[in-house]
Amino acid sequence: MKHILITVLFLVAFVGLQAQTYTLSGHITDSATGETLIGATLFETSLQTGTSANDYGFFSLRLPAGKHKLQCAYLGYNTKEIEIQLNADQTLEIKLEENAVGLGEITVEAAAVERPQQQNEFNAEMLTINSIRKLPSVFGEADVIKAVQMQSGVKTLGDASSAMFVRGGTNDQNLILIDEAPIYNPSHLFGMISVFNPEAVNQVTLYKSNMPAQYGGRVAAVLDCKMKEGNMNHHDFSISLSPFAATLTANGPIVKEQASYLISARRSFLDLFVEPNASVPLVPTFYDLNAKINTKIGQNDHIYASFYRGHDIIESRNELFNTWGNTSGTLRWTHNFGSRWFLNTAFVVSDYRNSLDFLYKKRKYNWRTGLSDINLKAALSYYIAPDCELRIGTGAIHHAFTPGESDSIVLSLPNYQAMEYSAYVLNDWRPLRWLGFNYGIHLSAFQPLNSNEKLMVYPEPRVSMNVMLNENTSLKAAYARNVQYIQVLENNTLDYSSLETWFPAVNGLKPVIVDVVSGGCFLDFGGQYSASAEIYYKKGQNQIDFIDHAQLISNPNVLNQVRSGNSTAYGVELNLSKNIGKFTGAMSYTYSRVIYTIDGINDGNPYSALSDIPHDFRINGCYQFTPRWSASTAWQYSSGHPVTLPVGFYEYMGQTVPIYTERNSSRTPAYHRLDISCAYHSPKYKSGFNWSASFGLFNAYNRLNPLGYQFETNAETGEMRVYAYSMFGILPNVSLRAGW
Amino acid sequence: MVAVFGNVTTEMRQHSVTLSSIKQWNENPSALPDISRVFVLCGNDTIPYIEKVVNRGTMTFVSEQPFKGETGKTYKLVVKTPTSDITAEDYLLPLGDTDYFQLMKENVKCRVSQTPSGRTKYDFQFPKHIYTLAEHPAICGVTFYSQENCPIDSLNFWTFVHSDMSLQALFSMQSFFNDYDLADLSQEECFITCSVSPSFYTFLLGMFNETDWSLGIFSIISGNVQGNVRNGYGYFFATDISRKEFTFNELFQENR
Repeated sequence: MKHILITVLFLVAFVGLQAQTYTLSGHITDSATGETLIGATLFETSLQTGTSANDYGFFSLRLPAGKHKLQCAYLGYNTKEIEIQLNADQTLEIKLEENAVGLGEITVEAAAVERPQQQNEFNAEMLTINSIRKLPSVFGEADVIKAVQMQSGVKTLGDASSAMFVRGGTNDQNLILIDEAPIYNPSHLFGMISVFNPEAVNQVTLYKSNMPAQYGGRVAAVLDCKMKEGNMNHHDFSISLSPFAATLTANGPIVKEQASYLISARRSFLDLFVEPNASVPLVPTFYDLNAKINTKIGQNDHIYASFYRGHDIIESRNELFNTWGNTSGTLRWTHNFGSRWFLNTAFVVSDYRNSLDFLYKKRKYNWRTGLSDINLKAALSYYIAPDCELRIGTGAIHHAFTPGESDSIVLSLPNYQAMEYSAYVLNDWRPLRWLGFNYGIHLSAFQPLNSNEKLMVYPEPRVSMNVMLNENTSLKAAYARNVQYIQVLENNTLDYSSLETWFPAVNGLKPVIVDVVSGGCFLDFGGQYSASAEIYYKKGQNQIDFIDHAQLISNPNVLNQVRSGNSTAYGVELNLSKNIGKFTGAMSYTYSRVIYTIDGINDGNPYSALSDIPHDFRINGCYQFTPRWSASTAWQYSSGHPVTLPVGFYEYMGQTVPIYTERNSSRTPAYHRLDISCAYHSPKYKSGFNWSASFGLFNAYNRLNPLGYQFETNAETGEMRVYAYSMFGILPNVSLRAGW
Repeated sequence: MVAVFGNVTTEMRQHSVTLSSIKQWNENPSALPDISRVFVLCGNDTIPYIEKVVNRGTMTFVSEQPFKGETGKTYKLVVKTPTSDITAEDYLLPLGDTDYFQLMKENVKCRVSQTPSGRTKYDFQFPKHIYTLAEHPAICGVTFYSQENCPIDSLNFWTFVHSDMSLQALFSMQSFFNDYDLADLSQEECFITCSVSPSFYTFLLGMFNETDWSLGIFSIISGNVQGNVRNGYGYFFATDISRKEFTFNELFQENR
């Protein structure tokens, strides 16, 4: 650590002494809408150096004095060539034009786009909303989580879950952010649809295991979603309809090119037509609202205010109601100190509530869980050199936990409060053209309040290295330690997430600590095709699981139902993708294992975790027949997931009691599913009106993938019968969208 | 391996032990072992059992003479087979001072009957098995039965009343899930209270949970039900029993 700091200080001093170098800084935005183009690249062709826009579209590039030829590129946009004469520090606002065919052929100069083999960061997958729209929609809605689930290394259970098991992690080990605010349950409608409204999303980035040092608090993955900022130039409106929901969106300038707004509301409508009955025992409903305002204040300041509110209600015919919802708000201020310093400060509030209501004999009972956060954080970036960026940051989160609250005091669990602190320093540095590093340390601390628990402090070193063997081939290696202080207790034998209980690291529940090493080879074939092979190995401590017969709901002794131990996960991920042209697509194969060893569970012997799905093959493709018509397909084949099934039965006092061997020693049959869809996009008429329609088949060949099993005793013979349950068979969907 | 059901009670009668075979998927039930001798040990006393009924897959043994168990003692079942002994033991817990009948009278509407019943897939289900709340030995099973029937060999009509604290806790959650259909009960009833040792209680909880097959948000993590039978499954239990006759209408009307 000491050596790293000395190196950085030396570098700062060295760069400061260099003569005849100036800084080119500015923002990269969409020419039509003013929308920030996160990750857009700016490349100096003769020096073969460049940079990329940060999450706020800001870039800073240090170049020698003189004339330079620059290429600015972003996927789905026409590459722009710019010539500048640099004789002093200079600002440059770059506006890129979207490719004329929109979702069609992408004509980006491949060399100008920063590709995975050139990034120092490891295991980062960036998805734009346009690329998500090119994938077959599961229920007529372009869905961020469903798109992420198509990435190698990301597993899920069942047909339509929003759960993600990333490289052996559990669902609660993913940090899911909307404009920096954490979302504690990303699912609507049992997970069929995620909370990410495609009309409001600009871009998402998935970090698998090896998160850069600015992220903390989770051990498996980060899904960082950025909302659109709203059109700075003119007002846009859209309405879209899918089988499950209708969405209304408006965005436009408040003050042209200075301030904009975005508001998008979505609501399901099944409840308007159906009430719970014997054939439809559950009727789910949801709505969500995204809103954002962003305004420039002068040349160097920018203020963003984002809001998200989502709410689900599931009504059952037996007078039960389950409701859950996330509410979050983010207020951010960014400031450029000159051309090389960039400050981002954010005040974030987030609230998650889940409630199960019983109405019986005119009396109301319920079980409530939840978690509220208040978060203040700041991050400062210093662009030391063209290929060297230093980031430091700090933050503090106040957590307020409601692990379980009932009308009966004796059933309720005590509420907890805790402070989570973090600080980090990160250097993204390419000292040589063929060698790059992204290294840093994330220092986290957790202090439960109102308890005798001591302050927990863990340093979390993160480092990744990139060795470019040639222009198109690189080798990467990374190590990270991740620590997680809050965990969820939920019935994860189901494929959807609900009635979770978030718990802090108190009363014997220790923070989860995961060390992960990974390596890989990345190949690029002129931008047309790319391929990668990655391996990883993860070792986890304090991984929790539940004892046999654990009862999690309405149980004030719920922590007695939990044991913790070690987890081991490893895997190989192979990817091949075609990135540009009329046909684009990707193919991946993953072999991975996840094994737990926990005292008190399975007699202390190793056993498969729920996400231990060894083989996983996926293929998806999109063919753009014309600029208007496209067709997409996706097929997945994976091993069945582990289940604990009885091997025999015996009779006791009139009951048929099952006998098991080991936990999760059986598997469901292999999972496979084909989704297809085709889409039409109208031209944009003179009035600005445009429309699109898509038709799709979810589970096109009607494969009934078992989600679970139900057993039944034949009253006459005493024989046990087993039934496999599936979530969905073939499901057609149609969606329409109109904008003006 | 075999499953064992048997008990020793504080009532003077012939006590029985039933051994049954294990059923496996798509296979015939496993054969019962040759059994040379069955007896119950209590301290230095040996209580011999004799074979009474043999059906396909089950064998029932009864004590040669009627006897009654004594509270505070431990009873050990021994089943001799050619390969290994099947054994199980349980402590005969006294009922204690709690007047469960009075409790029941006071809370006639707060019974917590727990018999597994069919559930609809994907439907929300009421949390039926929240017995983890009660961890005290002062737990009693209460059943409503006419006197002619044996009270404790079937769980179909059991209602469980727990210690005071747990009863209160359960009242808030559970009483509303299972409103006993009083009209179905006959006029003459017998209120029977049985003590349940902590380990038998744990076994019952596990069994209730494991025999509730429905999917849903209240599903539990599957696992073997921990009995007290060595080299077998099931539970051999010892229980203190008290009976009180009453007319149910009287009990019901008092609390109406």
